[in-house]
Amino acid sequence: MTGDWKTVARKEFRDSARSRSLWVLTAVMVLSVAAAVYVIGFLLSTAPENEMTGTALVGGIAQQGRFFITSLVSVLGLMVAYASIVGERSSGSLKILLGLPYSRRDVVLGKLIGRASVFVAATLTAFAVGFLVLLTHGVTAPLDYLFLVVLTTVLGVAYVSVGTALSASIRTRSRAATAAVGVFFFFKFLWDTSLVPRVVVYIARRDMSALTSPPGWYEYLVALGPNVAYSNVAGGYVESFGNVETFSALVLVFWVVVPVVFGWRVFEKSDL
Amino acid sequence: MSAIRTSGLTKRYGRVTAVDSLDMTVEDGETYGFLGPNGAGKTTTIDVLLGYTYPTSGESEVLDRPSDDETVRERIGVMPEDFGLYPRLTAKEHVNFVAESKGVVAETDTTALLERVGLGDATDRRVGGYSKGMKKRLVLATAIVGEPDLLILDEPTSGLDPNGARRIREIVREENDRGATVFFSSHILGQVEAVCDRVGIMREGRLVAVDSIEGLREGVDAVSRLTVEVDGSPDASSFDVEGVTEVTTEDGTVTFSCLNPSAKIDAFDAVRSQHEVRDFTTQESSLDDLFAEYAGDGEEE
Repeated sequence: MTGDWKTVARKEFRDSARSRSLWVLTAVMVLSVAAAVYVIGFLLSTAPENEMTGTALVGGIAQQGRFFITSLVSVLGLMVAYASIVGERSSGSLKILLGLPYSRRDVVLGKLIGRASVFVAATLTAFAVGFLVLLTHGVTAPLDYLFLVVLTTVLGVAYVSVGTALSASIRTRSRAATAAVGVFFFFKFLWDTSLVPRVVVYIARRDMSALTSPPGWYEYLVALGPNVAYSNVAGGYVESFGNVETFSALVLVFWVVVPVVFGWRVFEKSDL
Repeated sequence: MSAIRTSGLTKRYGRVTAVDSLDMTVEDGETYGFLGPNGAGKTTTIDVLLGYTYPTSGESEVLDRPSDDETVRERIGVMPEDFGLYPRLTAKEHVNFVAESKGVVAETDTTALLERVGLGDATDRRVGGYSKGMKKRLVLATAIVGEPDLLILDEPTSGLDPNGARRIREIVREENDRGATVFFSSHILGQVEAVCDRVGIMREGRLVAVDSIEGLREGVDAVSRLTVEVDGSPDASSFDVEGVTEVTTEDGTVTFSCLNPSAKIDAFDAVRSQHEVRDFTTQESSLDDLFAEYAGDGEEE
């Protein structure tokens, strides 16, 4: 049997696992999650009116810690992936890889899965440590916690997908890095702050009052950003799952699938 | 069946034509030297053959399959010119990954392969610390994993010390004896002369000559140079010898470019009839001279 994307993914994982920056990354993640869980667990356990329920925990972490978690996850997801293909393009090892019986699709898919596995391994480690911290607060809600872990992982994989797409479609490493930073800032500071969505509403309506009483589709528009979609889904888990929440879940799936497919299409047609 | 076939293959980068309607055939089982100065379009041709880049127009087939069909690379061993490796993986892991990729894990003896290229003592070291020569040896080892039907080697000997280059030529010969077709590119004739059945010389994106080494040599033998040292100052115009293309004089020597041996003797007699001869030398022009003539000014980009 000849190799396929799984062979590429395994090589990718083995290679990345020896990267010192990956270990630094994992350590940062472990410390950050442990600290966040500690603070939020502490707040929850001291707030008298708040029952220490699992949903309160998820809500607490995903909503109060929203800015923190989405920042951390997007930075790490993009960092893990942005150089995966363009790095091999500039080092020349892509010529070795594509001299083997792999299609361009095998390479992109193998990179995505390999790097996503690296991210997932780091995330699981971090949240496992976080769980131990939580136990010190006497909070045990393993299923709710698991939901949060899965949701956070999906958000991270979405950013790995974006990073892989940048890596597949941009020809130099430094430009890919710039683009990755751009993606981070765009969502963090232009989208999540409602700045761009509001501009879109204004352009659509040509009316300032639309900004104070936005149209019904505004919520869906904002939910197109992966970070917003993430906290919508977490919020839906705590409260109830309405249309916006369902839409947000689909948005997350969109961000996992579409960028990497786009990256593959560009890579497929490009010269090395 | 032919191992490599291109017809009307053209690759342009913007306004630069790197490969210009190239028609080339490499027969099954031969060792083909692909010669030309740097910038002649050799690497671009190889990039297209291997599906790294797409041609602007024309066709390119490898082992009777189109170049962009990745499954054909199961039967090809590749040594690209500007390759990189995975610095965190060891030599063994590189070979194993290639064997896994080609589906030949069971029949691959990684240690033996690495010994064969002269890396026997560095198999478990990460390749990040390898020298350029060691990296080349490792890539050669990965290229011959699974006994491929076709080896495509782009400047395999450049940057190597003479021993390393010799080892590579030996392996090329062994692989060819086993039945593999070898496509060997170089900008130095001497590197391919000893191993290749045929050579194609590329210049400015076109094949300007395709011949066997013997055929090229026959063409070369026709031109040789006779230099005679005499008393006095000879006058170039006083020698009119059939078969001599050029006469030059300088400081008591006269030099003839002769098309054949009898012209050389006639020229020598002509000098003797006019001057006292002190000494003489003859110089056969080498294959290198011929190559330089075909390839133009050498290092053009």
